[in-house]
Amino acid sequence: MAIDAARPTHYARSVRRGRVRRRLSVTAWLMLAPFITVFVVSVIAPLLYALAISVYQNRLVGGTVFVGLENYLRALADPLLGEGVIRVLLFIAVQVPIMLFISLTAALALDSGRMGGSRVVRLGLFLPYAVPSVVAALMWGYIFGGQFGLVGQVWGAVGAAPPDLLGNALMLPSIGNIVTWSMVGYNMLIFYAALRAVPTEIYEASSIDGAGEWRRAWSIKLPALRPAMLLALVFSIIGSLQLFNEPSILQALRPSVITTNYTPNLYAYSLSFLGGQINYAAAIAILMGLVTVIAAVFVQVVSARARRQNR
Amino acid sequence: MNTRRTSPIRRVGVAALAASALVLTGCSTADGSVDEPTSDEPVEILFWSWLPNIQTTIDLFEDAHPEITVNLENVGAGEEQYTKMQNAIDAGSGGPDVAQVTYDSVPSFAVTGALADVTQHTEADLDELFLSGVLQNVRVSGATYGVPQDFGPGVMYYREDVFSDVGVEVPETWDEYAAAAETVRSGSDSYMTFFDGGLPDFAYMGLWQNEADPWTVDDTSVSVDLGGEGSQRWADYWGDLNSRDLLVHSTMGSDEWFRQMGDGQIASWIVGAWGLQALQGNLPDNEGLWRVAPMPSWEAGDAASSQFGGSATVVLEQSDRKDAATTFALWLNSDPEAVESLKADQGLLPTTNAAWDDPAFLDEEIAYLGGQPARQVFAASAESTAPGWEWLPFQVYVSSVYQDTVGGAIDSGGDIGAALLDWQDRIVEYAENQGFAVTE
Repeated sequence: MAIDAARPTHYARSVRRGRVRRRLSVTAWLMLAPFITVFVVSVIAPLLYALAISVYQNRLVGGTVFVGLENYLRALADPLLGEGVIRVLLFIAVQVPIMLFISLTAALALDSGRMGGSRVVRLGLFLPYAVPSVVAALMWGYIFGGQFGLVGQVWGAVGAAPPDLLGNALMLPSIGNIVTWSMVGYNMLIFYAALRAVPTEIYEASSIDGAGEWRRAWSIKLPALRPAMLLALVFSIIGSLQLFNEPSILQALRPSVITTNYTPNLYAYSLSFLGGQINYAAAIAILMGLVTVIAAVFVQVVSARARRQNR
Repeated sequence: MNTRRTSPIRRVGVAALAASALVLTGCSTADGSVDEPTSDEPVEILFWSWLPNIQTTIDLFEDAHPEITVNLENVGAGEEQYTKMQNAIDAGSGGPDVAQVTYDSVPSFAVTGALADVTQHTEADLDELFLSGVLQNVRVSGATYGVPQDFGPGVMYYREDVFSDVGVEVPETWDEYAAAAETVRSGSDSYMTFFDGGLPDFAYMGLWQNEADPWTVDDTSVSVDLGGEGSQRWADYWGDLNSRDLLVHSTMGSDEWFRQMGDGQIASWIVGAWGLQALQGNLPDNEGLWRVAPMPSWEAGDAASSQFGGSATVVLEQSDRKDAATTFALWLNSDPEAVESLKADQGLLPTTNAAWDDPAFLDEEIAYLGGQPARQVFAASAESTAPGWEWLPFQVYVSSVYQDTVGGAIDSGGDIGAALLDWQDRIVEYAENQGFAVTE
């Protein structure tokens, strides 16, 4: 009897629970709907569109024809694209370590608590990030100007010929300078936040063990920063592969130095807006997207392996 | 200009675009034109133009032609408008009936059949109305794809003060120009002129003057030859001055460039006549310092010239009001009333024979140029425009890769002639990709 009575109760309860679960999942979907809509419209749809147009070619003579993977094969063999890719890789190899080192030093200095006016310094370092890159490039273009720019005036004051910072040899370092200036504060903030998350007990224990500030930075803070550094590294690599704004603005000042294929993104832009080759540009954009994904995964795998070996 | 173009920079760029967009004056008149709609059937046409004051001139047209209403839209200058136009053309509808298009972009629309031959929609004789040196800008394979609005006859502006300080005469030939460049360089802190690695228009002016025929188009076949005598002569001449440090590298239209111009560091500027407006607008303090002279030529007394800048008013093939559209385009650029308005309200250099026959216009003394009757020089240049120049149907691309090839050689003081051939390679590769049959 008791058992019989329990059965329907149990049954009813599970039915009710199913209904609740269903109702819950409807609610969940409803709440996710705004995000999913925006995501599909602004991320998935353009991606599919780019994929779709990348297998066609629109010619002035002959119109639009299906060409399969031809655009991709052409991109892989395109020396102009290769030149741009090598340039951004060089940029990543030199600029990213310098920028991350400066950010790291600044974060450690701020976190040591031995610096006066640390709030002002923190804000000051972060401020360039808030300056739109278009404005920043214009401003730096003026600073770097050899004739009437700041550099030209300073060199002129001591009677020397200014270096051509926007010339062929120094343009890439100059762009690196601009990007470092604008991104140091952002990365510093990532590091600083990670340092703040270290439990104070560890510091207390270390000082009982007689560790000084340097020892603490080396043995506690740097290991604690590992995930944040990985994050900053991945972001920086993605950002550098997509280098566009700075060279595009400086192009107006030195069109013969910043060629139409100076960076892969600038090349894709020139192809579609100056050459009307949207299809080929789409193929390049997708290939560059793949390269970015591979680079990000590679960095993560390498660092995960390094961590395992350390242990 | 491209836009992002990338093309030369805004302030000058706008002047160049305006130059092209200018007015036509007119003697004869649109009233004689053929296909006008019957006056009791009102027609509305859509006009795309980026001239800031063009509505003033449109109002005059609507007074003269009450049966036609013109709706003006400014959808952006140059490339920005062309992109939208191309989209409408691809879609088959939604475009304007009439539009402003710079000369270097007329063939790219014409080759795809997007433009109407205006001579099919009017009885007016364009050859009688317009300067022949300007009409060649709208003619592709025998058809006339638009009405010329303004143009930029090539001239040389120079700093009279710098020239007289170092004691050089105004050069009439390129040899004299090169000698003057040396005198200016050794006798002052100035340079004879600048060399801009991002300014294909300067090369176009040179090649056009030399009748170099670097490229020709015939329907779907294109031939490209930048190794020919006319092209290489230009390259050798400027490459030589460049390698002797007689030219300063500067980007036309940049702040730095305007300062160099204003300070007399750049002693001369070879450009379309519209350069005067750029100087007046940006360097008002220089009033009285500049003068204008004809572009130097290769042989003394052989006044061959070329052009830089200018626009046409085109009629779109997809329009179903092509007669009314043509009536408007012709009136806008040739009716005497319109031409007056274009000169006064738009600051354009007209393209009609009548305008240039008018002594009041031709002989007017320009205070900025120390009271010189500058338009006589413009007119002489227009008259001696070298024949045979054409634009490729993908000129925007051709211009964009000049900086990649010739620009590098200019910067490094390298071999400009060899760089022209690199440029040719890029042009040929593109043309083949676009389905043209290419001969080199």
